[in-house]
Amino acid sequence: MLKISIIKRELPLHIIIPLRITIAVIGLLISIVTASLIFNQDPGTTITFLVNSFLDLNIFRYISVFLPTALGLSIAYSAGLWNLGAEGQIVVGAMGATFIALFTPLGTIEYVGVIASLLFAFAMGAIWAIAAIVLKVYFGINEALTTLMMNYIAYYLVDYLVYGPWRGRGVYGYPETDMIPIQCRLQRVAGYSFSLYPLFTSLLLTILVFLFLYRTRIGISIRALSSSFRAVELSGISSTKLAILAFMLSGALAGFAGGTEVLVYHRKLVPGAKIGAGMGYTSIMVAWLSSLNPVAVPLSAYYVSSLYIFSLAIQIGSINVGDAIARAVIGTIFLLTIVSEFIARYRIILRFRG
Amino acid sequence: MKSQYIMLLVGLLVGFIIGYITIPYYIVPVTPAITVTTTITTTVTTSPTPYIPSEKVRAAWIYVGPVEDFGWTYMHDVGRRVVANLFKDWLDTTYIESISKEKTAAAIDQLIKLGYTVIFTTSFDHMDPTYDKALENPNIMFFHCSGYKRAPNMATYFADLYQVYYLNGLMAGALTKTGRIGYIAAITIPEVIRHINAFAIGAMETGRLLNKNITVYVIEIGEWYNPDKARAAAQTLIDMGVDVIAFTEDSTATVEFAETMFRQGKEVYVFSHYSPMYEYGPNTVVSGQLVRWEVIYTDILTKVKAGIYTPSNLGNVDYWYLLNTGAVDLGAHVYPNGTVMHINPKFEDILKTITVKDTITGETVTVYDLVMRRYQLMKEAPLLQPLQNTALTHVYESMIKVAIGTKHIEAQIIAAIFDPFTGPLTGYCIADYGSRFCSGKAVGALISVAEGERLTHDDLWKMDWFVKGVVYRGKM
Repeated sequence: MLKISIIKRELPLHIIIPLRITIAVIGLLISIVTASLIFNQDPGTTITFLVNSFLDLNIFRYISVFLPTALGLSIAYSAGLWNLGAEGQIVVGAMGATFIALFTPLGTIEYVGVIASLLFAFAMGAIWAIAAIVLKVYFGINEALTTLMMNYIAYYLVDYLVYGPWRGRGVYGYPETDMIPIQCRLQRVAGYSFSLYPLFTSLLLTILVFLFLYRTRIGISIRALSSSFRAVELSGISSTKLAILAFMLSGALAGFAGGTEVLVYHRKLVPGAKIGAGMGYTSIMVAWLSSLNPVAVPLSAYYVSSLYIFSLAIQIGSINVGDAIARAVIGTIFLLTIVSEFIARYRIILRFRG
Repeated sequence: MKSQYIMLLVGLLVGFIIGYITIPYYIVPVTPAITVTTTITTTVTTSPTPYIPSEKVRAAWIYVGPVEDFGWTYMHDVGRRVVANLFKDWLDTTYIESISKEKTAAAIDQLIKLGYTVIFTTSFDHMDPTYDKALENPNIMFFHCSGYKRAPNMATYFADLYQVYYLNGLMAGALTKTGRIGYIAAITIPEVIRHINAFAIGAMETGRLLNKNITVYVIEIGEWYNPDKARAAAQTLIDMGVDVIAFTEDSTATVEFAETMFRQGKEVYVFSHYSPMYEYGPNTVVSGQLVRWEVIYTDILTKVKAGIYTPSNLGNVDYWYLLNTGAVDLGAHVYPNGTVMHINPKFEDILKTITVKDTITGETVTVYDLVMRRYQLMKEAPLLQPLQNTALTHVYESMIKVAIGTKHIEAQIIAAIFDPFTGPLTGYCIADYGSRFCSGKAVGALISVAEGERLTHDDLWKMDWFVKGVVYRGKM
């Protein structure tokens, strides 16, 4: 009889990191070569596209969404709380930023408009997250479900606004607001679709979140929540307050990502599904790929963003595999990445018994 | 230990970004005449180099949906394939599909990097990113379908179906038994509103002649492509007693649903939308709207090739092609030899048995003849077709003829002598998109168009009212 056992590896980190990267890269190459051969493409060309995608600066367009969102998620997940609502939090963040930029006098003041919009985006994201965690800590309702459902509420709330009271005057009836004032728009890097300011803010936030989670008493307690609510209580800190704080920060960071999407990219509010565009869900994967370590989030965000660009690149010109196959290839690559994580952490032992 | 490791990587990454990004600001193209000195002068005057059209044209299309949607994107790709095969000596094409709003800018960047100099973006969602990229890349020519933003290197184009919907409406009004007609609308923007109105005007015209009391029920589904919602909307309409359905949704769902109903013994007629959907409902598809984007794409690309369109003169290029250009047609099927089946033979026979009085000539004709006469009136009105491709000349499109008063010819016709959007019309406001009728008015306010007045391009582009007899039944 065959017996399969899975044993946790105890490898030091300086081995695990290169090991995982190596496995991921090898997996990437294997899947690319296999896919190329299946679809009669030259593997060399495909790999060139892949390398170019990893060097393409437009990946920062996605990093500036994935990085803050996944950072926030890593706080919630470190606390053992399932925030699946980053998508909705991004959307309400965008709504908050648009509100300040378009409907308050602050929007037309230089610098103030941008800062106020983003602060309000933070606040909206946090408020959206609070609703779910309050239901969790006071009524015991599963936060994974509520956050997921709140995403749809966020979508429909924004849809209501852009179809109704916020619909722009100069948009020929399309469901969107007017453009936000010029003072509120963040300068993009010439030739690309991202802005440096939110990117650097996100990198700064990465360090802050790391210091918060690993160097402060509250942060360490938040991480401890995942192992035991009781233990944290015994140390004299309210676990309820910690859970709410972790969720608020989580939502706030996603809200910030949504706010920057409006100030940098859309520059107007559009229907919810077009703002989030599934990036909030992808961020969940980004957070887990980094093993919830804040300083590893930029790396995993970079990796995932590059593959986003790659999925565009392999559709153009000589390759032109179509969107469905492009997505399938990217999906396979993600799967292999997760397998690599598993292999790095566990050993699989097969034993035969007579 | 471990964190330093990762911090180092992050640091390297940040350094890389800063280095990479700041480089472009220093490698400013330097003209050979300038001698490089140690003091950096930041004033770089880019002398306008004369535009020379390239030997080979590299054109790329960005689609909002999958090519296989058999609706909007499919027909754009058919147009692309026509020009790609026709001009294969000098044209190189590619496309990217399923590009939503947030991906558009990155997709355009990719295409420019790979050397494509003519870029077609084919969805309203692409408008803002296209406009931004047009301003950033003054040497690339952009053509955007369905929007209203233009730049010196960004033109707009659209093939409008309202005349065809009117013709479909004439048939619907003749065929309905219950007098209840349904319309599944994607999103009630002016484009869709004028299609609904044109369809309703047609249906009520034959309805009135046949003493039927026609009501057009509209259900909005809020998305351009959603077969499930379209099917659910069709079911709702049928439950309300509707027996003829037209729609604006990019899949064959409504047609297939009607065909299923037919097999179950319930007769529901539909009008295929955008692509030839007759094969999906041979028993139920009466007719439909077809589009031929290649008419616009050949015009654009030959002008690009000839150097007529340059990256500095597109600011007023705005194609708004109607029936007389050939960019749209009445029909639901394309035969293998390329000819179009205007009306399903099954219904052609039925329509030939119903007679009405043509309100223009006063003659008694069959509905089939009525439809074909109106079709000819709009189709064969090509006199000043170029009026339909610049923004500045749209104002002349609502004029029918120009009086010249010479001895032998008093006036020359310059546009179709018949248009469905000619008064008298009455209706009510459903929103305020800034039209001259509903601007500043409350929803529900009544409006009217005077006898003989023809609506202008601007009226149609801002249409925010339904004609009387159209009933909005909510959004799904």
